Amino acid sequence: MEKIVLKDVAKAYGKNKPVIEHLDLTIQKGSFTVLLGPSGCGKSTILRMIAGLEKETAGEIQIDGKSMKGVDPGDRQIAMVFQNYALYPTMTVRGNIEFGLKNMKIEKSERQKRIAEVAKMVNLEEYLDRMPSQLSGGQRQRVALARAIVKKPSVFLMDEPLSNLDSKLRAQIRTDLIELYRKLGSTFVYVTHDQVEAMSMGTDIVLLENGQIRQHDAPIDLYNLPANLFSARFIGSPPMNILPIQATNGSNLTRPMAAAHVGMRPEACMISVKRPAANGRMLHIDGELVTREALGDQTLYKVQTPYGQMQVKSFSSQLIPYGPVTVSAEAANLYFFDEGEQRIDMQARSVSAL
Amino acid sequence: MPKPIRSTARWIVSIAILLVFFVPVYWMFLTAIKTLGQCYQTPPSFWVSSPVWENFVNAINAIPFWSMLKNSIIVTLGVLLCQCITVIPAAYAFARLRFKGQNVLFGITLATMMIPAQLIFLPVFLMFSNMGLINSYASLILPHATSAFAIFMLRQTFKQVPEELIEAARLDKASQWKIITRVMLPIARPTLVTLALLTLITTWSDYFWPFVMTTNNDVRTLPVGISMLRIVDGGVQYPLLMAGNMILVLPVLIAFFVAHKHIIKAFTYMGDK
Repeated sequence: MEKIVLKDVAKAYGKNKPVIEHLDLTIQKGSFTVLLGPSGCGKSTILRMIAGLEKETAGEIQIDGKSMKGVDPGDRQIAMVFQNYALYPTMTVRGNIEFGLKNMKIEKSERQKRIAEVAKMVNLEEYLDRMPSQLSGGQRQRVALARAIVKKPSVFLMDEPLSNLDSKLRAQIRTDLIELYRKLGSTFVYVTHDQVEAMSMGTDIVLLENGQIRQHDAPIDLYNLPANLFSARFIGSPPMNILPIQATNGSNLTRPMAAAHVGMRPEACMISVKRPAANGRMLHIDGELVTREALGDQTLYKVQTPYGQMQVKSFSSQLIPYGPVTVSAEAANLYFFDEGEQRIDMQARSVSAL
Repeated sequence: MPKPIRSTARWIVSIAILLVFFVPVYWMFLTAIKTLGQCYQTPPSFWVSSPVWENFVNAINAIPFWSMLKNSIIVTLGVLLCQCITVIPAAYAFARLRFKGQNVLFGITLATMMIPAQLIFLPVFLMFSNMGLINSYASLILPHATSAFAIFMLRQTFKQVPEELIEAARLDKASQWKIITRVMLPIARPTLVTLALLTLITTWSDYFWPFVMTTNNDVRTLPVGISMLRIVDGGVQYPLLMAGNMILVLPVLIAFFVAHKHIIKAFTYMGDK
C-alpha cells in the first residue's frame, strides 16, 4: 500500500533552474526507503518537501492518499531527525522530548508515560534532566530520535542523521535504527549519501542524480541488477570496474551488439601473475599492479590496464607481488551497457557471438 | 616579552583602567558625605573621618523626592515594556521572515540611530504640545518606545539561531508565537538582559527628555530633581548634589551587579551546537 506519493513534483529556488523536475515517487507503507545520491542530487529537498518545510513548485504530494497542499509540517503526522540534531539548547532532554507532545495537547500523565517508555527504548533514562550541551554526540542523536519516536508518527523522516558521528558509533546506531524500524513498523524515509547506510538499512533504495531517479529497487537488486552506469558506479565499494567494450575484443565472449561498456565488480574479479589460458568463459585483461592494500580479511588491488584502471577485491591471503598481472572475470559476472549508459539485459536482448 | 614583565604590565594597565572608572564614583561618594566646607578645602582630602550622613536626608527633603522616584519607576518600566512589545517582533521579523521592502525598512530603522535627540526634540516637543501631552507620562515614554539599536542587536542574535531549530519546532507543531517565546527568546536571554539593562540605565538617568517635556514637577523624574539640588539655598551645594546622585545611580549599580554575568555572555554567545 502506498504511504507517500509524489506526483510530477518540481522544485525551483527563486528564478534558478529547477533542482527537481517531473519527479514521480511512491513510498510503500512500512518500508524503510532510503533516498541515496551524491550531494546536490536533491534528496534532502525531496525529504523536506515531504515534511512540508519546503514548498513544491509544481505537482502534488500525498500522504495516506490525502493531498498535503497547505498542510502545516506539524499536522502531517510525521517526525524528522536532523543532521545536526536540532535540539532546543535551553531545554532539558525531557523538555526537548516533551515539547512536541505539549503542542499536541497531550495530557500530562500520558506524556510522562510516553517519555518513560521512549527514554527506556533509547537508553536515556539517566539523562532526562541534563541539558543537551552536557551530552555527547551519540547521546544527542538518541535524544533527537526519542523526540521523534515519542510523537508516534506514521512516518519518520531522517536527514543524514549519522553523518556527524564517528564510524564506530555510526555502525552501532545503524543497527539500533534497524531494530527500531522493526519494532515500530512505521514508514521510514532516510536521506544519505553513504551507500553502506543505504544498503544495510533500506528495504527500498531510491538512487538519485541531478534531481532524477536513476533506480528505485531493493538493495540486493540495486547491487545485482544496476539499471545503468550511474547505479553500477554508485553502489558497491570499491565501485564496479567499467571499461570500454574494446576490452573484450579477442576474448571469444558472447556480448550484446549494442554494448558500449563492460562492467565487472571488483569482488567478482580474480587477479593472477600468470595469464590463464583463454577458454571463452573468462575475460582476461593484462595490466600492471599499481597499489595493494592488505586489510587482513581482504586485499584491494589497483591495476593499470590499457583500457583504464581496475580494482580487484581478493579474499585470498596470498599477496600478489607488484609487477605485471592479469585480471580475470567470469562471463556470467559481466555487465554490458549501451551507448545511453543503460544496462543491457542479457536475457531480454538478442545477443550475438563475436 | 618575558613572562614577569608581561604580567606586571597587565597589572599596571588593569589598575589604570580601574582608577579611571572607580575614582569618579569614589569622589562622588566622598563629596556626598563631606560638609560644604570640606568640599572647598585645599588640598582636597581623600578620606573623611566623620561622614555627614544627613546630606542624604537633606537631599531627599530638598526636592519632591518620593513623587519623582515614583515617576522615574513608572517611566523606566513603561519604556522597558514598550520596547519589549515593539523590539522583539520587529527583530524576529527582520531576522526570520521574508517580506517586501524588508531591506529598505531595516535600513531606515538603522538610519534613525544616527539622528541625535537634540536635532529632533523641537519638532517632537511641538507635536506633543499640539496633542496636549506635555507634562504627561506619555510624553516621557513614547519617544523611547522603541530602539533601533535593540532591534539591530536582537536581530543579530535571532539570526544566529540555526534554521533547523525553527524547523524542528514547526514539526513539533509549535505556532509562530511559541517558536518566539519558547525557542528564540530563551536562546537570546543574555542579549535581552543586556538590552534591558542598557535601556534601564539610559532611561533612568535621562535628563534631557524629561526636562524638555515637562514644565512642572508632576511627572518629572529623579535626574531633573537631582539637578534642582544645585540651586538649593543660593550657592551650589555639592554635598547635597552628590548625595542625590549617589541615590540616583544606586539602582543602576545594583542592576549591573545582578546581571553582569549575562552581559558578558551576551557578547561571547555563539550558539549551542
